[in-house]
Amino acid sequence: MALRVARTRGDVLQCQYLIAEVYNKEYEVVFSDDSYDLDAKVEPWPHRYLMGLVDDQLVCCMGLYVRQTYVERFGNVSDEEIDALIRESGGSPRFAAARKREITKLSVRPDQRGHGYGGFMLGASMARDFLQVDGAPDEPHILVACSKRSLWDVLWHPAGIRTRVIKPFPIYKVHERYSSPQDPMDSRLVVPELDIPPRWYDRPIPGEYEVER
Amino acid sequence: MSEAIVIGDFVDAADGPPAMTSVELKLRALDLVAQWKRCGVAADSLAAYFAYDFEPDVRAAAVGVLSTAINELLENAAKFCADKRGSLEVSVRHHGELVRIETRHTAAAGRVLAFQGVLAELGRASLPELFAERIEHQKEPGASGIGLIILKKDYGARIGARLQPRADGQWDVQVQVSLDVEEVR
Repeated sequence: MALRVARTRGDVLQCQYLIAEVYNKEYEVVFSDDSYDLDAKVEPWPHRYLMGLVDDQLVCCMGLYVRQTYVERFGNVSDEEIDALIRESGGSPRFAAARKREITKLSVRPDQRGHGYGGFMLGASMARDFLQVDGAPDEPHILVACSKRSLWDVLWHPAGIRTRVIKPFPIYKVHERYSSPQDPMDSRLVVPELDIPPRWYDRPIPGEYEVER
Repeated sequence: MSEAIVIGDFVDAADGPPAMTSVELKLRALDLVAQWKRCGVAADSLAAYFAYDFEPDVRAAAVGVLSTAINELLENAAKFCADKRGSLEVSVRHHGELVRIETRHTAAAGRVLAFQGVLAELGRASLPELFAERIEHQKEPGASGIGLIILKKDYGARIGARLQPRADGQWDVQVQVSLDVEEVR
């Protein structure tokens, strides 16, 4: 799989249409650049995208909020709560809540599932070259994310990524087909150099890689 | 193939009076899902186009009413269209005494069943009570139909649908909203 950060408007649109197709079919979500309403199932687009291409075809992608993260906007997570967890992890003062990003909207083309692309894309999106894209090298960002609990256990943790629970995520109508009382969502913190294995964090992007199922 | 189901105030285009002004648009559902404000842009544009059928002093009001109705139908069509890479159609026709807005798309069987329930409630229940109930429960799971309730309650819209099962298990869905021109002004 060839990995690269979406750079052109055409790259971005390819990613957005893949995400829109997957998330609308699975969760009835629609998207907007400049407005959101989680009760009407309108979500804001991520700002950056990581593309996974096989034979020059986009087969999977991941979005990245580089500001106004979902966790802070909708998860009621404060910088104070994040900073407390960073201190607890030993990540201070290199990392701070003021510099945070969030990966989101992992999408695999429906006809390309079963090849291990989802797990690989999740791990690859932890790469410094994506997480810290357009950032200053000496001011790295921490990663926040929200997900339902089952996905932390079947996707994140098997990839070797450590997650630190911040707090439960509030219930919104937009998540009615995603989470449930039996599988609720929460917001979590990942401190890159402590919680992401080097095989992911140091992975060069752009690059070409073998994907194992 | 099974017979079509017709619910509410649905008029076959061949049975109605000829349109004085008409526009048909074919849109790709995925384009709307990916940028939701396109629903509003399309609705506003169509409404502005039809506003010229009204006297200059009521055109602004006509744009408001028509845009609200077109946007509601367009958003529903985009949300419930089964083939997001396929097309949905929206038509607006001004017949002199009424404006009829219609959307056409395919939908999954489960969607059609839920939609039938929404339409049935519109025909039976007291609209103010139904509206209050939907407002109270709008954050809960399931289709609310609140936009259609508003069209009927505030603008006296007549709402109908024709639902035709297809051989592939999906349904062809036509939804109509008819507005008396007196309500549009």
